[in-house]
Amino acid sequence: MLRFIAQRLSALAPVVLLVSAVVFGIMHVLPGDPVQLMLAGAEAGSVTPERMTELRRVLGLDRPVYVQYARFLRNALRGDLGRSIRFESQVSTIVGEAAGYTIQLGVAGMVVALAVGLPLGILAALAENSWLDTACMFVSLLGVSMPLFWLGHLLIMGVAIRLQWLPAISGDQPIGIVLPAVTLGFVSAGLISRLTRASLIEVLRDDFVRTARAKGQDERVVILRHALKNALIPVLTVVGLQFGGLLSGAVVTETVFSRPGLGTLIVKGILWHDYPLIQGAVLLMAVSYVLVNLLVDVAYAWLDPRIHYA
Amino acid sequence: MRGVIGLLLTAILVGLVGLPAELVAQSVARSGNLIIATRASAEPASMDAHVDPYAITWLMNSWVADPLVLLTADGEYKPMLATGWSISPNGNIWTLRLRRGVTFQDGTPLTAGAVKFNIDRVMNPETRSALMANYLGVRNFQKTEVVNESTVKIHYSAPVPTVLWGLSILPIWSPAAVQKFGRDFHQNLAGTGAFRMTEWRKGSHIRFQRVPTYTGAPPAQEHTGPAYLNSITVRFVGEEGVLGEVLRSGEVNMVMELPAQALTLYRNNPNFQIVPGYQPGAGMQFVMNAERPPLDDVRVRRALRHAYDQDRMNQTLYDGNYVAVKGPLTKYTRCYWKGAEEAYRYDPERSKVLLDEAGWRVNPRTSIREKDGRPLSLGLVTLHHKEIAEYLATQFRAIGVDLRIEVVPGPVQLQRAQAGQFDLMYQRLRSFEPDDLFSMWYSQNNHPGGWAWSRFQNGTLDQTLLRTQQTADPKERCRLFTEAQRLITEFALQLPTLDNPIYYAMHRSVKGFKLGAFGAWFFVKDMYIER
Repeated sequence: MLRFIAQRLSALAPVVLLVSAVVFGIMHVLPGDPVQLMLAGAEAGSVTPERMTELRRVLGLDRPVYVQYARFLRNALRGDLGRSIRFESQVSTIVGEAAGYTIQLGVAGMVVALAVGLPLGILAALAENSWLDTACMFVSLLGVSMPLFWLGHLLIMGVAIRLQWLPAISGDQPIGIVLPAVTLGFVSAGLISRLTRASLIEVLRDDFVRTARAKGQDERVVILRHALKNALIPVLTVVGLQFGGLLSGAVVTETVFSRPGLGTLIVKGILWHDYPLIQGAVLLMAVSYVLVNLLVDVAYAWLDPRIHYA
Repeated sequence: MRGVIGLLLTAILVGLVGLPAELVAQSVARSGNLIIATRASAEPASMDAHVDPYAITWLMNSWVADPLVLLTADGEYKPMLATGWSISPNGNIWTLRLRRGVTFQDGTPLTAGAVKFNIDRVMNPETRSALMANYLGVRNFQKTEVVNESTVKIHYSAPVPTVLWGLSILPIWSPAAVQKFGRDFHQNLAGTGAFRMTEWRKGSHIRFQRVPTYTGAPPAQEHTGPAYLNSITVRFVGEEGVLGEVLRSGEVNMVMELPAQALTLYRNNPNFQIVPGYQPGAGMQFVMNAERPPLDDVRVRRALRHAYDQDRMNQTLYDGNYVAVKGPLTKYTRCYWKGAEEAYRYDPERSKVLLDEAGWRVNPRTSIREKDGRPLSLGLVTLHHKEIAEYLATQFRAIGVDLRIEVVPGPVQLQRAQAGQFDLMYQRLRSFEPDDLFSMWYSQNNHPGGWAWSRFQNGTLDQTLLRTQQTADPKERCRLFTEAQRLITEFALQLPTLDNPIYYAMHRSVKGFKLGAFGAWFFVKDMYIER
């Protein structure tokens, strides 16, 4: 197992390198010049070409693209992701702050997704083809088909504005995470519940479940210890993928709930052609994605002892 | 009850030390925490106005750092940290006399050396100050000279007409703090103002706390002493819909830039008050590319000007909540030329005649005009407010002109503008002084980073605009700017449309709000929350 983890971690370097090269390339191909954009914000006053050239030199943007990329890599290896062109601060500081909020939201969203999705799926599977099954699947269908921004707005209008139970502006207040987490989690809960239902129905028909029941084991033990543990393997795969989805869904949720985070930061970075900022944020997301999927693979072995990694 | 007891105890204590009790009672009663919500896209990238070019940064900086010159609500320049100023006869040297006994929030004194440090910092290319440096005349700047502890001189090679405007928004920072924090200074501001910036959570909010030792006085505020408010928090809201609602939910007590569609929620409601902040500058206009056909023909450009009516557009699209703009500047701009209002009355028949004269005939099959087999089709590029473009398209179709609309992000707009790949390009510049006209219409400002996108060249217009930058005499400048507006209108170089005022919505408990000389500015030191 340790060898497997080490192998996977060693694969992280080429993934990160590839992602950074692709992002760097795309950003330089897109129309727009960061220096021009910095000055465009001025909304008044023309700027001389000399001043633009000077600014470009100060920012190192007058060098060839490959030189800029090589410099970025060299500094990144030393732990220096550079300074944001637009935000005048260390990229590692800005990205670190934002990542904290996004991870909080992602984890809270996943907690909601599992807390809602798993019970719904289990209930539906146990009451297969009954009205309860239909009701549970209707709720899960709502989750799967409802756009994030729409659900977010509904919750804001209902819970925050009309009832005034929770804040509409999430900001950085601890209570402010509730509505965004519910929004983000409910959408994933829809998928998790449908998958749990399908997987559990299949497992409940397996011989080992019949054997467990024949042995006279308590039904709760049969379902929770024997059936559910086996049914969760495909669900876990989706949970891993969904975590990545939660990170991307955070862009919308963070905007709707006015919450700081990586999503809104990356959007700002792209709009302002802030190369170092985008590089730093995307690198962090790529690393997180790889690590989460590694965790999922490790969890397979825990759930099913028959799975071994060479 | 607790408040009343507190008030009584304070009054007794004050009575003992001999201060007027009513004054203290007022200062206790006049306090509160102001929470302002505004759009997330307004969040500054840097909180240092030496660097950041946005009006909201200048505004928030003014809470932390007093400027040398105060721009009053009436649009007059009055002494602030500078007790007075004079200009040499040739207009090239500005002498500023400073207030004595002022200290920065880090305890260091305000001196002529500190002012020199600030001005030199803005002029230094390493600071990356694009806009402030322009206002302070970087092109003609020679040096800043410390005459004595409280007198400083700025030397230019030629007159700079925007110096006072620049000095009125230039925050004077503590040199010691700037040197201490280096490039992270913008998160650790230290000025001489009534508030201290205590927290900046990016993407969420910025918080300011009152400086109790601040010694403010009229005309910058109506009372003497520190500001009334205990704190100001500016919260950034990502969604327009939410921004329109948060005042109702009681999460904030003021909204800056309330979306026009949310006005109905608060109008005629005694619990709320709405103050419109009208904006000087160019308004939302579409600049015509006068270099390439068909808009290189002035008759076609004039035909477009006659084809729509800004007042009807305002009523149709925004229930009249925007402001109709009929010339190169909004009517709230200094040196505004009123003649623009009558220059192009809504007259589609006149448009048709002009297009006929220009050789564009209607193809009965398509209803679009053609010349030499080419249809009269124009490409309009905009960043937002697509509905304005759609309104124009409907109006233009009635005179046989096809309008293709593209909504693009900022970087694409800039690239297209500089490459001249457009017929009509959205452009809006805003500043208190009318110098935007020079930026947008002086033909030599057509270069990367410049704003003269129309590519129109005319010697008379260029000379007129250039002279506005060579004299500091306000009357002469106004005469020249008026003439420039007349010429731009005569050559029909832009399609002026509308401008959206900044709507400030407040709970009725918010008192003492006072708008500045332009819509994006307000004064906070007399504000308080009534209990």
